[in-house]
Amino acid sequence: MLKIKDLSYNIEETAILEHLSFSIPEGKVTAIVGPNGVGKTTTVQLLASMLQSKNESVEKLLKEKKVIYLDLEYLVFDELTAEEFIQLIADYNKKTKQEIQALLEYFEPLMVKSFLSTKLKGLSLGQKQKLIILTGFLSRADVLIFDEPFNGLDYKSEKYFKKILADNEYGFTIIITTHNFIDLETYTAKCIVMQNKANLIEIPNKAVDLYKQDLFKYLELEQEY
Amino acid sequence: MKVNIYGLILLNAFRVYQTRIHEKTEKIFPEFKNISKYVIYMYVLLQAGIIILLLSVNFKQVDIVNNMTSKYSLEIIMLKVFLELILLRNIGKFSFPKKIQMIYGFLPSIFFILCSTFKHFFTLILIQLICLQLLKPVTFLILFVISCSMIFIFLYAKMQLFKFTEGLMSVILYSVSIILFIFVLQEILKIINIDLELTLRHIITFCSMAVLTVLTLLCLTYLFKNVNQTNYILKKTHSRRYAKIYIFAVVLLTLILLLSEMFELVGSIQYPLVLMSFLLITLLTKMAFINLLTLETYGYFLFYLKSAETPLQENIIKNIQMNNYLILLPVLLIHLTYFLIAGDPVFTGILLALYILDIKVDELVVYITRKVVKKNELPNLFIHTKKGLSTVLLIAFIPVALISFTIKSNQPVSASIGISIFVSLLLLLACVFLIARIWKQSFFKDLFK
Repeated sequence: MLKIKDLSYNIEETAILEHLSFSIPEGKVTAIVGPNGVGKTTTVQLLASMLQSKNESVEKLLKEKKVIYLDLEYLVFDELTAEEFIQLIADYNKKTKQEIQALLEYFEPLMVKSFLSTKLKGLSLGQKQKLIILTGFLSRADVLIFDEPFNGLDYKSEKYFKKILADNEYGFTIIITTHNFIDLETYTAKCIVMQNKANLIEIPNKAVDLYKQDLFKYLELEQEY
Repeated sequence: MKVNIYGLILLNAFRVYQTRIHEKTEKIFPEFKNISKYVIYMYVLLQAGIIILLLSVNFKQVDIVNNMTSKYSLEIIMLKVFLELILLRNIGKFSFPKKIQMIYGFLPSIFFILCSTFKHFFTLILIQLICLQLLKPVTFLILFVISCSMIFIFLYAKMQLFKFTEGLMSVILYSVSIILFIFVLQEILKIINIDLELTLRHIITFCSMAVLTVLTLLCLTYLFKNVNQTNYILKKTHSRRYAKIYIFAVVLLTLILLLSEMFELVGSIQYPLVLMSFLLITLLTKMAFINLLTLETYGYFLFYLKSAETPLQENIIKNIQMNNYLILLPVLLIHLTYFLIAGDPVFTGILLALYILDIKVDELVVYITRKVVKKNELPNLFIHTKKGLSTVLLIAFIPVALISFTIKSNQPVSASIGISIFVSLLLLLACVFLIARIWKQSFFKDLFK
C-alpha cells in the first residue's frame, strides 16, 4: 500500500487541498472520482511531483517509486511519426524489439497499428490518447497516473482499455481520474471519492454490487439497478 | 540500424525547421515553395561551413587580434559570460511541459530543448569556437567547463520547476552587464582622456532626455484618453514595447552626443546623424505599431467601410492620421531636444518638416497603392514595406546626402545648405499635401475595385 498522509496544497492564500489522507493499493488500479474542481488533478499532479509539495509521504513515495504522469501535452515531437515516437520511448526505456512487438500486439484491439505512419501533429485526440497510454506501458515506471484517460476514445477502444486495466498484465500501480463510471467495478480495486477539498472517502472493491452502490451514494448520483 | 533517442530528437527538430521554412516561404514567396525544402540543407551547409572556417583560421597569427586579446582578455571573458547569459535566458523562454524529464529522461529532454532553440544553441557553439581561437587553451577549457555547467544547472533548475531560476538569471545578467559597462567606460575614459566635468554634463543630458521620454509618454497617454476622435488606447503591453523603442532612441542620441564630443569627424556630421536616428526610430515605431498606423491593416473590414457613410469614412481616416501624429510625437520631441540644446534653428526646422513629410508621404503611398484583395497578402511584410517606404526614402535622401556632402567637403553643414534643404522640404511637403488630398477623396470609392 502506498500511503499518503496529510496532503495539502495552496495557491497563494487559497487552499486547494486540505489535510487529505488516503492509501493506494500497489500493482492495482485506483480511480479518483469526484465533481469538477474538487482537486482530483491537483492531487495526482502532487503525487507525480508536477506541483511542488513538501509533504513527507509524497516525498517518500517519489523516493521509493518511479511515478509518471501521462498527459497529452507530453507528445511534443510533432514531426515524428507514431512509430518513431514509440521507438524513441522504447529506446529511452531500453525495451527490445520483441518487447515492443509484443506490446503492439497486446494493444492491437486499440488499432494502434493503423496510425503508426502518421505524424504526431496529424493524430486525432483519440489516437493521441492511445499513444500516451502506450507510452505509459512502455515505461519502466512503478506508478502510472492517467488524467481522464477515456477522453477521446471510441466505444470499442474504451472497452478494450478497461480490459487492459482489469488484466493489468504488466503489474503497474495505476491511478486514474475519471468521470466515466461505466464498468468501474470491473477494473478498479479501489475508488477514492473526493467530496470537497478537505474530505474524501475510500471505497475498496470487495463486493461488486456494494462497491458501486457505495460509490453512487457518496457521489450523490442516481443509479438504475 | 538502431536509431537512438538523440537521433530521433534531432530528426524531429530538423523536420520542424523544414516545415517552418516551407510555411514561411509559401506565405512570402509562394513561387519558391517547391524549392523551400532544399533551403534547410543550404542552411545546414552554411552553418557547417562557418564552424569549419572558425576551426581552420588561426586568429592568433593576426597581430592586432593577438595584441587585443592579450590586452583585453578579462573584457573578452566578461563579454563571453554576458552573451552566454543572454542566450541562456532566451533558451529558457522556450516552453515545454512540466517535468518533461519524467517521460523522456533528463539528458534527452535537455537535448530536445537545445534542438528546439537551435538558433541560440548554435550561437552558443560559435561563441565557444571564437573563444577557443582567442583565449589561451587552459583559460578556454576552464571557461568551457563553467559554460557547460551553467547551461546544465539552468536547464535542470527550470525542469525541476525551481521558481528562483529566472529571477536569479536576471540578477546575474544585470550584474555582469554593469561590470562590463564599467570596464568599457574605464577603457574609453583612458583612451580619450576625457575630463570629468564633460562626462558629467553628458550624463545629465542623458538623464534629462530619459525624464523627457517618460514625460512625453505620460503626455501621450493623457492625450489619447482625451481626444475623442482617436481610436487608439495605450495599453500596458503597448507601453512596454513603446518604452523599449524610446530607451533605444535615448541611448542612440546620447551615443551621438558622446561620440561627437570625442571625435571631430562624428562632430561634423552629428546633426545629419540625429536626423537619421529620428527616421530610424520612426521606422521602428511604425513597424511595432503598424496595426494602428495604416488603414490597410483593417483588411477585410475595409469592405464594410466602403459602403459606410462618408462622415464615418472621413472620421476613420482622421483617426489614423491622428494616431500617426501622436505616436510619433514623442520620437520627435526627444530629437527636438537635441537640436534645442545645440541651439540650431535650421535643423530644428528640417526635423519638423521631416516629421510631417514622413507621415504625409506614407498616407500618399497608401492612398495610391490601395488594392489589397488577397487573403495571404494581408499578414505579410508587404504592408510593412509600404509603410516604411517614406522613411527609408527620406533616410536615403536627406541625412545620407548630408553626411556624404560633409565627408567629401571635410566641413560641417553650413547654414545656407541647411536652409536650402529646409526650403526644398517645405516645397515637397506642400506638393505631397496636395496630391494626398486628391487621392484621399477617392480612397473608399475606388477601394477593391
